[in-house]
Amino acid sequence: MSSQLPLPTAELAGRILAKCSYADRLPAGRFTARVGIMRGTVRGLPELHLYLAPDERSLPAVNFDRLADWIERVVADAELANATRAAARAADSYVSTCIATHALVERRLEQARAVLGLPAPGAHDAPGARS
Amino acid sequence: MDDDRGRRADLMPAAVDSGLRAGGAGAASARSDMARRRFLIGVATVGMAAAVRPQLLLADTLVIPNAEGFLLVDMKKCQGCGTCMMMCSLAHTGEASYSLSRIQIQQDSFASWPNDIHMAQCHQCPDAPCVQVCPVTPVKANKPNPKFGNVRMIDQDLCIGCQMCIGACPFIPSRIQWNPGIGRSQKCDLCVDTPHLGAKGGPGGVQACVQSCPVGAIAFTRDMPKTNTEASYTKDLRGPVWKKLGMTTE
Amino acid sequence: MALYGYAGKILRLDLTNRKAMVLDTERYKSWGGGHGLGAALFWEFCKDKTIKDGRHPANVCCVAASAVCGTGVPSATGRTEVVGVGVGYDGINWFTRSGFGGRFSTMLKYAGWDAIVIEGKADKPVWIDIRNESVVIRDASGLWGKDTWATQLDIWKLIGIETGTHTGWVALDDLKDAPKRESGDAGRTTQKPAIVAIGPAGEKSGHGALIHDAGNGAGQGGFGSVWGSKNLKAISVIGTGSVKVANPMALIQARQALKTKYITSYEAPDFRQWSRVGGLAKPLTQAPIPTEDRRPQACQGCVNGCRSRSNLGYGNESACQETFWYNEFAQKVAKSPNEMGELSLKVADLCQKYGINTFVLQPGLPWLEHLHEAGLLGPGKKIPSSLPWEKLGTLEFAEKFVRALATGTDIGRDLADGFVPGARKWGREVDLRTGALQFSYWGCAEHGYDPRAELEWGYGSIMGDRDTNTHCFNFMFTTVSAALAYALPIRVDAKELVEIQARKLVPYAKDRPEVFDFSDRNMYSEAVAQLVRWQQHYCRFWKNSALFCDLKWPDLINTNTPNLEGATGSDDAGEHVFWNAVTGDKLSLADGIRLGRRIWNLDNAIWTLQGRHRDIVQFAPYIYDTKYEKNELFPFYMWPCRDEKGNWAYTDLMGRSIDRKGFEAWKTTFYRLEGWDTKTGWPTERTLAELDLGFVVDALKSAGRLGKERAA
Repeated sequence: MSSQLPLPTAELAGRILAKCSYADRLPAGRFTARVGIMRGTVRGLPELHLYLAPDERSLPAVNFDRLADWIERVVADAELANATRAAARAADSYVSTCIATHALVERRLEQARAVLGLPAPGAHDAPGARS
Repeated sequence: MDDDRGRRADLMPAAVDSGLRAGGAGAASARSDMARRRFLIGVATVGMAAAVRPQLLLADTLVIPNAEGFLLVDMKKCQGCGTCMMMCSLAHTGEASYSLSRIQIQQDSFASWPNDIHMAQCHQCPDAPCVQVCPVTPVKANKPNPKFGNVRMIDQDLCIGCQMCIGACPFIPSRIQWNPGIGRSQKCDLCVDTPHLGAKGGPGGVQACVQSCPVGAIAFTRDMPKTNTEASYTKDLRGPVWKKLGMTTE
Repeated sequence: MALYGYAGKILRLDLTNRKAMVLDTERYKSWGGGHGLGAALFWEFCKDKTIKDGRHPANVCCVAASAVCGTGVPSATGRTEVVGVGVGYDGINWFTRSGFGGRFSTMLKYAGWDAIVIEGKADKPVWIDIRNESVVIRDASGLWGKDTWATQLDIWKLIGIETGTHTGWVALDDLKDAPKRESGDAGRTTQKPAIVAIGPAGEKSGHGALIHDAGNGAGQGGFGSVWGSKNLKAISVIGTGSVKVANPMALIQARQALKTKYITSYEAPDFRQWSRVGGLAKPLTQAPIPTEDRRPQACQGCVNGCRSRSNLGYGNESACQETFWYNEFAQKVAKSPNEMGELSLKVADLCQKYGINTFVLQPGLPWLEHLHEAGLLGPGKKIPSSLPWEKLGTLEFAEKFVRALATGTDIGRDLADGFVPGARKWGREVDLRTGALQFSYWGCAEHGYDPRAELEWGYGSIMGDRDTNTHCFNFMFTTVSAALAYALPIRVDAKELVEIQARKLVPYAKDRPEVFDFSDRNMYSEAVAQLVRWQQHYCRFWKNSALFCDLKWPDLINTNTPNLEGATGSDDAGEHVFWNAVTGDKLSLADGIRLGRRIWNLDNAIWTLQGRHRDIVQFAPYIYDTKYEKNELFPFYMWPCRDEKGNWAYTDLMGRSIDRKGFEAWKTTFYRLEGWDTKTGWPTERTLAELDLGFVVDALKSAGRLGKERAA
């Protein structure tokens, strides 16, 4: 599905990579055993990408219906919004939805950087790497 | 490569570890090899009734049969809960205690793994210095017990409390403990004499520390490790489950 | 007569007059230990129980072990309880509690002490040097201002203990400044002194925690600030003695039974087992630990350690909440999971060293960000602050933020008495109505288990003195919700889950699974009130007094056993089996819960003297005025509930609020069940007499706060 998303325009690419205002934030959270559900915020697709990154210790707390609406309203990326809705419908579990949406957002960010000629961020370290 | 770090030479009157000397020089300071040692006489003993060999300048060299059981530890695995210490002292004496435990787990919360924990088990040494040095005659207090796989045991009825065995132990901390309540030395006997254990101890039986360790960081073996060093008595007891839990098995 | 389990002596410190006195434990044995013992000592020695701030010099702080500390009882041996009037609440700082793990209580017992009572205020900073029976109050002017780790390391040096682990036996008689003795031998040890210390946060603010070793902390309740107000920097204890156990063989065998029957094995582990006590050792670190070169690390006697030490040079022993609170911001800055982990652990280290209660930071920092983003907080703003908000998420910001709070500078000045008092100073009561400031009960931070969903958590907190932090049943939410999220099999269906657990809810709710039904139609019921009573009473004795760890106990259901029954109350490895093996008592699980009720009632008597009345037993307004929105967060909060036909199912509890009238009715039910005056919430003479608490009646009568008997 993500490979079918057309390349964004430069203007859209800018919004895809931008940090939105606090007023436009997406309420999200984190769920972990022993600590529970704690509130947080997502201010843009790059932060959403981080939020949805697989983590064995905790789960992102995101409402995917609201997420799609937020992508449409704040990022004004209707294609991505529809793609996330479709991914949520197709997934067989909440975590599968997180993983699928993470992949979609990752691809979209790559497209936006490519359109604007920006380098990719640093590769993720493997476990055991030292700083 | 054998780790010599745990060994030290003791030139003091047999009292306690050299860590108690003035200045408190730590274990890391250089120690000479203890291939040749001389013990100085001059230790007072308390209420001594049994005879002591006079004019000991050199420890008599007895032929001591090897033990038939040993404890191996995995210092990278230990979770520092001290359960082994408490179960050890409970099984032997009915009282829980660090100081009366015959296995010692030492921790430094501010040190980095793996040097944050040291597990100090008795090696049931071949040619055990603690047995060699025991001055009690005609029967040593500290000696191998042939009924229980030659485990080096201290007979509390014979021990005169001279503490020479404590000083003779080549390791830091000494694997012999001093019990001030009764004025006797004591040591690991692989749970031979454990009236509170509820199971038969000794080689082939149950050891309280092995049984109780929540993570399996202590194991019993009948095979004498190759050399009498801490490294040789340390074994990787971790395995694939440990790896799956995200921790190294190296 | 032998006093099994107990050391036999309680240390009573008068810091004002620099005196150390000895009390006989036997007089207080009926309280068990821990909280019960501490509350009884507080009642006896606090001359003004109406005080509302823990920094008042009349406050008495008790640090208490229990009979089982130091004996090897699983996941109880190493806990320590702290009680006294707290700091950092909203309005009245209640007589409250906190606890920490590690090895302090074990060492205290081996030194020959069951508890420490701390009264008065030293004229200058002091630390307490306990070496077996020797107790010396020493000058701490060289330690004051230092962080908690530096303090502990300095004290080791002052006593003459080397750092590192390959150290020899040390005779207490050979340590620096050892007391002269006429005869005998103080014994030897290979262990380091166990020290609990305060850092700058305790010295300068109301957010002080007590820190022991690298990462054991008593955070909630502000006891670090209580000690700071008394000029008490640290207590160090080293002991060479032992604890007599009544039936050592029974203890050893019960421990073995727990290991083999109730805990999954390393040989053939069930990684997805459902239980509280039965998992493998696994650090509860809430960010990736960026190395495999590490070990699990446990409190003394624990069956499966929840902390860790690694080769990183940072993060030792930090886990759970202190490794979670900053993550929401850190993850936006970290460029990789490893960097995220490093940030999280270094921030945790900061908090340990400053000795700060991190619970308030978790909802507190998002609220401050909210104020900053709204243009209210920052340089030159209505709430002036020079914190570098543009660097939120970095280690630099965290250090400056924690330092500000710990030292009462920048925004820390107005927040020094607590976040909610600070919000009032800033005229931000609105944030308590909207939920922007998520401090749900008594000015305490909401834990992550919203009171609108998880009723026993919220009710237990508001009927008590603080965030209850009692995970007895909470695993149902986390385990089931996670299973659903991952589309994993639900191992135990809702009906079986509640029925199995209800079998153990003696004496109030045995075989009454309806107590677990948190559906809308049952949320203000007598059944739920019984569950809250069970939980608070169980915890007051078995967890807060006997000191079984909240992370492992109670174990009501356990998939490691063939019949799914947990260790709690079992004949082979139940809490009472261990207690009785150590003490020689003949307690049952229910006996302990009745003792817990007695202790809970003593607490309520103290709260009543402090000013409690049912009218002020209220959640923060947002709990009533806003719904716990499904839309915003995690899509479900799963809990067993019955439908209108009585069928059990895991049901989503999101989307509701607490109704004020419903809660008032529920309170009345709760008071009636507890035997308290339903009009005021105060204990009645009859209830106090029933619980052998007649000695508190006069104090309540004199204060005009003795509850009246009312018709049902």
